[in-house]
Amino acid sequence: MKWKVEDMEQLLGMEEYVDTLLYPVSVSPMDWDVKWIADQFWLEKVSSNVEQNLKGRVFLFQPLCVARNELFLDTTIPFIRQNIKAMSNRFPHRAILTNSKELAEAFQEEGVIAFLLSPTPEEAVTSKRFLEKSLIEANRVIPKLIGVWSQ
Amino acid sequence: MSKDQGVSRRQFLNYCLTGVGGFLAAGMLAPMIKFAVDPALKKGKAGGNMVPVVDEAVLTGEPSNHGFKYKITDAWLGEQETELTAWIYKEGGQVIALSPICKHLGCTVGWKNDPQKQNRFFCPCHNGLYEKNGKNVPGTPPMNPLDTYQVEVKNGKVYLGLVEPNKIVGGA
Ligand code: FES
Repeated sequence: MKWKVEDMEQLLGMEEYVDTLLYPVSVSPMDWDVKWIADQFWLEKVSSNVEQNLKGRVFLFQPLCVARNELFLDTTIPFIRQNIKAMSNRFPHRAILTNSKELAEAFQEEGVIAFLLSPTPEEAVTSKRFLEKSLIEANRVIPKLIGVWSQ
Repeated sequence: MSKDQGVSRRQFLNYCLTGVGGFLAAGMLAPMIKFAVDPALKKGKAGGNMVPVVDEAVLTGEPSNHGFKYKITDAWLGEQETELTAWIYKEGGQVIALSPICKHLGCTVGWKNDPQKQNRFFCPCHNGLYEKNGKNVPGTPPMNPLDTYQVEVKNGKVYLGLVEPNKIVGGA
């Protein structure tokens, strides 16, 4: 959800309960095409579905959208890593939700919970089927996050 | 929590709320829209603000989850349709529709989804529990019962309206 400045006090009041950071990262090809929009929309839908179900414990970070070029791994991973590191004291559980296999694998090795999104559905982003699939995808992620808490 | 490293909570929240930092340099930020989608989404309006959600005939004494769309006014986006869900069941000829939003901090509760599979609603975020009628179980984090939806049954169809404080829980 989109927090508003006036929600600040509510957010601070929830602090002791919100211990999980969810960081959505969408990586798209360098050449712009409509798939960019679909990829980003897919990530947003899935991550907001997850957040809405677990909002008392999960903080949804601003989604990051990256255009992929040959420097992608050298620049993006350190950037995300420093963001996650900066928040590691605040959030004992840190999860990344991404469509990039390389990112998911790299962060998994670093102890971050990494969810690799299923490919963006072929259906139109406004179609009911697309939205249904985003719910199904979120329902794949949610039990895994809950499982992490119970460990 | 140590504040020596990383960021303080206020720094962190300012960071998130204002969207500053290296994010803009690294890519473009996309706004998040709060909503959930359910495969059983149904669209359509009845008289007033009541929305048709499910046929009464399919309801039993066991709560089942149903999705529907409802028009709300949002400070960011103006009037928009939002997707909601309800736990609905029948008891003594009465249809009861509970909001799935936990009264502790707003996670989504499920029916019989706790590790013991009890006849209760369970919130996985901080182990909140509610009885079938929405009454919060003492000793778990929620301090209030689950809200209920306004319910109307017309021509065999269950219509839901606004969420209101739970009136079926005695003394809550
Ligand atoms: S949000 Fe449900 S128990 Fe905390």
